Amino acid sequence: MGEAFGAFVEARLARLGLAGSVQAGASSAWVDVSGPAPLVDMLEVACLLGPIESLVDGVELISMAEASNLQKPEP
Amino acid sequence: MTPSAAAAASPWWPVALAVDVPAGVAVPASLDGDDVVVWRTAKGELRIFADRCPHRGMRLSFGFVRDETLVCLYHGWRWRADGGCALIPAHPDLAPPPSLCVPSYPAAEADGLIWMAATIPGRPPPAMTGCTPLASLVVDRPAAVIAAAIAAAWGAMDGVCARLAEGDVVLRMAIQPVHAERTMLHVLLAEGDPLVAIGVAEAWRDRFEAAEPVP
Repeated sequence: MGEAFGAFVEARLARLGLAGSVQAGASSAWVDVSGPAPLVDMLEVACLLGPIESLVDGVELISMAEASNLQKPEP
Repeated sequence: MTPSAAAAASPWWPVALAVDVPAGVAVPASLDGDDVVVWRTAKGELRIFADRCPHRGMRLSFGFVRDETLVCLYHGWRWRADGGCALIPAHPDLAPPPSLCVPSYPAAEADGLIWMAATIPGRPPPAMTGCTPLASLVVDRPAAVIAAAIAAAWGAMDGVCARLAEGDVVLRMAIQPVHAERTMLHVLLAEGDPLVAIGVAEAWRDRFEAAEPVP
């Protein structure tokens, strides 16, 4: 994952006009995003594809409320 | 002047004959390895976009024009003439954000040629006044080799343009570096019979393809 994935997601956030941020570790990443549902779905698909440098096994979409109980990955 | 040197002096590059891009049509072109789509809206407005849909990267030159928009063949995303997204068919009620846009390039049409610039140019494209567009010929040689061959035969080029005279035929050529090993010659007739002129142009194209590389 790492730096390439983080830069990729930030570029997609900007392209889709979404508010958000990304924290990418070596083996996982955390993306906070808010905006229209269809655009968030597009971001989800983009994350599943990822940049060529990253191999993404899966993406889980959870609400902000559920996310508050989870631990973000180490940078 | 070689085309690469001419780039510093001439910000315009030819990418197509105007007659080859009628209203409602999108065609691909390449300039120095950068792929673009040259298209006209249904009303005939000329535009040049990066040949890549921001959605999934499909070539927009594979798409089609609907009224004043360019439609991507892949998922039907529609792009306005200003590069903004007009419609995402899968989400018809969604107002596409302004951040969703296709990069576009300055485009101009003059004397039967379509010209493209990388940035906003400070002057109009080169004049080919009084000439009739004939053809666009592919030459599998670098533009620098062709420029050197032209310079050897007729003297230095005028930016990206050259004047060739043979018998009763006078041609104007505008050179488009497609990529490192390919050049497009846009041929216009200044004087002479068009059918004879095409033969002259094709003969010179064959000579250019046989030309030695610049050391």
